[in-house]
This record gives sequence, structure tokens and C-alpha cells, in this order.
Amino acid sequence: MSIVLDQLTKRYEQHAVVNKVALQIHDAEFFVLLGPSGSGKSTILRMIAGLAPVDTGRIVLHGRDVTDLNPQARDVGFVFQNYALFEHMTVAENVEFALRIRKVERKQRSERRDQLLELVGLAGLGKRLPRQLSGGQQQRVALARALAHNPAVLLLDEPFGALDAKIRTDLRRNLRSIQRELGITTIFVTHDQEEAFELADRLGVMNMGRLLEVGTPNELYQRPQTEFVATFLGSANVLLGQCNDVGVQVGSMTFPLQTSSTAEQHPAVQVVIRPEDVVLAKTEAALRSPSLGQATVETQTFVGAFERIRLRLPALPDVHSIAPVRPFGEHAILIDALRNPDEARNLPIHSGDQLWIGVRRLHALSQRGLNVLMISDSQPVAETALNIGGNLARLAHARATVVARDGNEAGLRTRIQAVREQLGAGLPHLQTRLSTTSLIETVRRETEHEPCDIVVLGTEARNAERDATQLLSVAQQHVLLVPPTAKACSKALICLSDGEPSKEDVAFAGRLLGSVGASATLISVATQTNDIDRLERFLQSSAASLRRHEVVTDSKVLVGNIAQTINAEIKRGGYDLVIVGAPLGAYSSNYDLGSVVGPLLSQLSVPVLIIRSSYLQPMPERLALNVLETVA
Amino acid sequence: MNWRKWLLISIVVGYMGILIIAPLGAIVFGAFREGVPAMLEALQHPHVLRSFGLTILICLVVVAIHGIFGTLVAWVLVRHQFMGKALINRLLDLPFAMSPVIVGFTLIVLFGRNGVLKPLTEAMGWQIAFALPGMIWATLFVTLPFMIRELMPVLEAFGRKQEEAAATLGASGWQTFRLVTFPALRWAFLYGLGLTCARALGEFGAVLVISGGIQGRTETATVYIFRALDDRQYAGAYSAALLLGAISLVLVLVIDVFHRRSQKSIEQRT
Repeated sequence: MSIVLDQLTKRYEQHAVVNKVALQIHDAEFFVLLGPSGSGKSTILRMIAGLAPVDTGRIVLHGRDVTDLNPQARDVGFVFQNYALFEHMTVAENVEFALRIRKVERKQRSERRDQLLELVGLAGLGKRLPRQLSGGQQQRVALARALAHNPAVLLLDEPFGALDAKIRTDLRRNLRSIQRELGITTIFVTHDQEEAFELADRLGVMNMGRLLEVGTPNELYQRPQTEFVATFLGSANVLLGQCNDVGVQVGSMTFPLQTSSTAEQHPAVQVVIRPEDVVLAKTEAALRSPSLGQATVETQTFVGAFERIRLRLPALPDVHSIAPVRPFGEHAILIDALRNPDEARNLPIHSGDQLWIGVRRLHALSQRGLNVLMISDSQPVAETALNIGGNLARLAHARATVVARDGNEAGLRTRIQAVREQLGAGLPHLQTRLSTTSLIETVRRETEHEPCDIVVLGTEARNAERDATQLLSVAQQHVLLVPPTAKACSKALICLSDGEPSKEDVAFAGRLLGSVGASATLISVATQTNDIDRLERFLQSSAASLRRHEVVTDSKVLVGNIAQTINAEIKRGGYDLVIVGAPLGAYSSNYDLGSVVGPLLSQLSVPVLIIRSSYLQPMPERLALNVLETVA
Repeated sequence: MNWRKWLLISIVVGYMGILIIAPLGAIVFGAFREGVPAMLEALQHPHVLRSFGLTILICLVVVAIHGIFGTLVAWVLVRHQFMGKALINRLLDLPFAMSPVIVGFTLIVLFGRNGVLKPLTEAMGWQIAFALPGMIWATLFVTLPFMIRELMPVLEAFGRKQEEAAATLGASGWQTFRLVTFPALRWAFLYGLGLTCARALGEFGAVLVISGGIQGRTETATVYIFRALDDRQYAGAYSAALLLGAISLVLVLVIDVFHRRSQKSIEQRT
């Protein structure tokens, strides 16, 4: 291994810009770090070069731990986005700089310099000053300069970012052939997907300080594991289908599941259909692939070698559309298709045409992306809830929807505007909406449009029980109640009893805490001392499932009255998030919070996440109406 | 509209003429009225020679000290964050605002006959007040901001990228400064030196107070001119003023070249 990054972390003012990144790069490998701006990829590169200090974690280059060494001692070559050539030195002096520092003799220096200038295609330009060269030429000089001392590792930080498209393509080829020729281990940072695909042996996709997935370009494009990677690499139709014994069901189509993408045992599964895997035909029989249904052509755009078509498919039972985003209240599903000129010639189409949509291939995501619904009402605490919920969504790469309710329309619009400004950065999938109806009706309509995993609501302790009852009675998602005193979520207390939340739900909590980077303490309260052993075993296995999500965990069994003991533990341990299971029970308007959750909420001082056991069945339609009538 | 423009221009030219050309002309006129031989003779007077020698010596010492410490201060203020940085940054401009006479006076309070630090300097055998060290000290104070204020914006515009590049290529901190940062600063550095020098040449108040203006001993060029006028030795006063004025003029013309090069190097960077 040439480069090993071990749990690398960098914080700026409590905010982790690089979050526990672990990565191994092989000898002579060309590795590309790809991600949107602000994802932390450049910071990783600067840490490897020693230009930014590491907070925690290790960096090992060729078996040597360099974490605490200064840049001079690391033996890396670094190419900056803005070239950073020494402007008062000639091209030759720039290239020779590292050798001059190493006191290499003049003759050897000039030989090496000529050889490098030849390599980057600038032979004969040694006497020029950097400002007499074009941008592309300057970056070639920067590359030659970075290679002069035969570094063990070459790091390039968006080196072609400032150049125009044609020159970029040339430089890319040039760089790739130089890297092959020298066999130097290379990390290349870019936000350009095309560049990443063309250069990489393997690539890693980053977002919000986390390295989400690593693989060859082909692997990541064809078999992404997360929604972010699926939609960041090329365009994708993402649908929420159902998982059953046979495979994945989307509408009337059933696809067998490949072993590589077994979804967690959860009935809802996200499937990715690449636009080029969408088949269009006049009749269903002509598709020769599983059919999704008959759709109307919305728009048709010509993009160079291909033709991009957007179609509108009537709603399908048990299928929700996630990407492309459709307008609120729209039940139809939007599907993007891509056709090559051959296909376009065989079947000319126009907007308004009715066509059958078939799917050649689909891929199920192993990690279903989370969806957070935040309700912003006129209470002052709503602001705190937005901060907590927004941060959670950001770190968990979740889609977020903010609904402003409780106020006149003009007021709601200003509030939405403020929300967009507050949360917009770093939340790639932020949707905002207004609602003028009751809390329950709002949540019901939202979850009908797109199922969500967590509803976030700011509330005062005196209203917490009422709000929890309302939210838990209406649908099947988890509920996060945020009191005005909430600060952040970094130290969680998970309260378990051996029925609820189940281990599966602990896993959900684990995934959430893992992405936030929070630690967790598992406790279980025994009312009788002879329960202790059994509970301890139960806690051990739950703790193991949390550790799989890289959550630092300890666990203990306490004895006493459940509600009192938990409250005492919250005060004692300084926790800033409490996770409890929702009591089992049928959906009904008088949902009972039980003897644990109720008393806990009445003393709400830190956010409480109420986990909804997933084996609760969705509420029957008739009951839902019943609830609306009695509560609203 | 046109006449308004010309009116404005002539006001400006007239204003500059009264402020700059007239005094220069008066000095030249006055000096030559005394006659060239008288002038040359006056310039050879030991007091005149001594005063110019002292002025040039003070200039050189001050320029050397600010060359090193001014660069250091500018560097630290631009590159590092620390408690009290904003305060230091603000205090730097104090010499612009404070009367040099006050500076001289404070030095007397410190090192004068009944000065606070007098016992200490006496024990060490140092003579500060009414001697060269006090005069250098006073001049250092009044010339403090020039170097630093000239270098700071250039350092900021230069940024850190080239220094970081040098570090990854193996250069130590000193090598980076010597080979990369300083060459980029050189014109601003020279301009800063020039300004410091020009200001030091003309310093009068602070030096007069701290030096006591002892004839032939602690008299700088400006102090000599002042005394010569007072004593009605017009030939000496005019000729010394003419020489000092000429030196300043040449200095201004030279450092203007540095200034233009420095500005150009900032523009190229941004």
C-alpha cells in the first residue's frame, strides 16, 4: 500500500470537514477523489501533504507514519489548482527548485530539468517567466516541478479547474500517460465526474466530509450503494419500490435481486434506473424488456451525441418517485430516458406522444437514503428544531423537506425564504413547502407524497406529550422532538427494553448516530434484579450492531423505576439526545405513550428520538380517515 | 462643462504650487542670493559637516533596523493569529498622529536627568538622552509605520500558495523566505526603506527635544538649519536647506520607481 488513511478527521469550529475517512491506495494507482465543492476532498489532500494539521487519525505513506511530520519531510509532489509557480523565477528555475534545495549539482540539475520539460511537452521554454505562458503551459510546469525530486506520491488538487474544456482534455491524457510511465502513486481531486471517470483506476466519492463509496468507475456507476453516489455520478431515475421474496417489485415489474445488492430486510427499497437503460416503444410487446407502463412525452432535448427525453408516467401502486424531483401534489412519476441517434431514427417522437416505457436493467441501493421531514411552525423553538434537524439531514446525506405551517401565507413565504438561506448550503435535496392545515393533516399529506423516515418538530416540554401522540398516531415514521434548550446531537442515550425498540431499530439509530459522528450509551432498566443477566446479553448484542456503524458505544443495566431511572441517567450523564422506542400499539386517535415515554417527554430538556418499530404495519386507510376526523 | 473642469485643474495646480514649488523656489533663490562661493564655504563649516554626517548615520541605522524588524512585524501581523494582534495593528499608526515633540518629551521623561530609567542606564554606563542612542530611538519611533504599512498589503496579495509549494518541494522556512517570499516583496521592501529614509532625513522635533541640539555634537541637519536661522547665519541655513532638500528630492524620485514596480507586482498577482 502506498497511501493509507486511517480514520482521518479534521474539524473547523466543531464542524467535521473531514469525518473518519479510511482509505488504502495501491502502489502506482491513479486514485481520484470526487465530490461537490466543500465536501472535504481538498482538505484530505492538504493533510496528506502536511499543509493542514490532522485532528485525529493517521496518514501512512509507503509504510511510514507521516502524520506528525512537516511537509518538507513527507516526500510528496503537490500540484495546486492555481499553479502556484514561483513568479519571479524562470520555468527552468521553477522546475529545478526542489533539486536546488537538495543541493544537487548544476549539471545533474539541468539534465533532470530538460528531461522533465520534455516529458510535459515544454522543451525549449525553460528561459520564459511563468507569466509569459498560457494557463495550460503553466500547469505543465507545475507538474514538472512537482515531479523533479522523484516524490513517492503525487497529489493534484483540481489542477485543471481553471482551464477551458479543450485544454483540459489534452492535459488529462498527458497526465495519465506520464503517470503510467513513471508508475507514481497519484491522488487527483476533482468535482468533475467526466474527468474522474477518464482518469481513475479507482475513485472515491465524497460528500460532507465523508468518503461514501470507493470503487472502479464502472462499479460505482453500475452498482452504487447510496442514493448520493447514484445521483452524483450521471443522472438517475430513483424510485422507491417494494422488496419481496422474489426480488424487487416496481409496479408490475419484478426484478430478481443480485446478491451484491441485497437490501437490508426492509420492505421499501430504492432502485436506480439509468436513463440509458430506459427503453421506449409504441407497443408494450415491442419493448422486449419488463414494462413500467404507458407514459406521455413531456420534453425532448438534443444533447450532442444523445437525445434526452422526459416522460410522465401515471402513478403506480406502492411506487414513489424520488428523482427526478416532481412538483408537490403531483402523483405521476417522471422518468428520464436517453437515446442514441440510431434509436432516435428508428422511432421519431414528439412531445405529447404516448409511449411504453421498459426497463433493461435496474439496481437496488443497499442503503436506502434517509428522508427527513421538518415541520416549522410559528413557535420560536421551530428555529432550534430546524438547526438540529438540518444538521442531522446534512450529515446523514438525507433528503430534507421543510414544511412551514401555522401562519398567513405571506408570513409562511418569508419563513420558507429564511429556511432556504439557513439550510440551503450542504443540503443537496432540500424541498420547502407551505401548509395551511393542521399538523396531522400536513404530515399525512407529506408522507403520502413521499414516505419519510423521521419527522422533526420543535416543542416545549408541556406540549411534548400531545405532539408525540398526534405524530405517532398518524403514520409510521420515527419522531424527533426538539426542545428549545437543544444544542447539538453528539452524545446519545439509547434506552432499550427487550421488546422495543427491536434490534433492527437499534440498527437504524446506529446508522443515524454513525453518520452524525455521535457516541452512544445503551441502557436498559430492570425492575427486578433477576432480569439483569438477560438484559445484559441483550444489550451486548445491540452494542455490537452499533459498533458496525462505527458508533462508540458502552452499555449498562440499571435497576429501578424505569421512567425515574432514565430521567436520572439523562441528568447524570450530560446526554444531548435520548432515543427510546415507541410503545407498541395499534394506530388510533388515543395512542398511548405508555408509562415510560410519556413521563420522559413531560420533562423534555434534550431532543428525544422516538423510534417506531418497523414491524408495525402501515395504518389502514379507513383508520387514517378516522384519525383525521377526531383530531383535526 | 469644460470650463468647470479647467477651473478645478487650475485650483489643484495652484494649490500644489503654493505648497510645494514656492518653498522650493524660495530656498533656491535664497541660497543663490548669498552667492555660490559663500554657499560652498558655509557648507564646509565643521558644524555643517558634522550635522549632515549625523543625519546620514541616523538614517542608515534606522533603515537597517526597520529593514529587519519592519519585515518581521509585517510578516507576523499578516501570517499569524494571536491575542492583541488587532491592538498592535491599530497602535502602529500612532507615529502618524502623535507630535514628534511629544515623543522626544517622553524619552526625556524616561532617560533625562531625573528620568525613570536613568538609574538603570547610568549603571550600565549608557548615555541615551542628549546623545546618539536617544536620537536614533526617537527617529525609529517616528518612522515605524512606513516599512510595515508598505509590506503588509503586498504580503497579503502574495498569499501562501507559493510558500506552500516551496514547503512541499522540501524548502525550509528560511529557504522559502529567502528564495520565494522575499524576492516577491523586494520592490515594496525598497520602497519602504526609501520612505523610512526620507522621513528620517527630515525629522526635527523629536530629535531636537531628545538631543538638546548641542552645537557640533548632537546637531542633525534639520536642527542645524533651525539654529543657523535663529543665529541669522543665512548663508549656512540656506545652503544646508538646499542640500537637504536636494537629497530628499532625489530620494523621492528614486523611490517612486520602486513604488511603481511594487504596484505592478501586486497587479500581476490579482
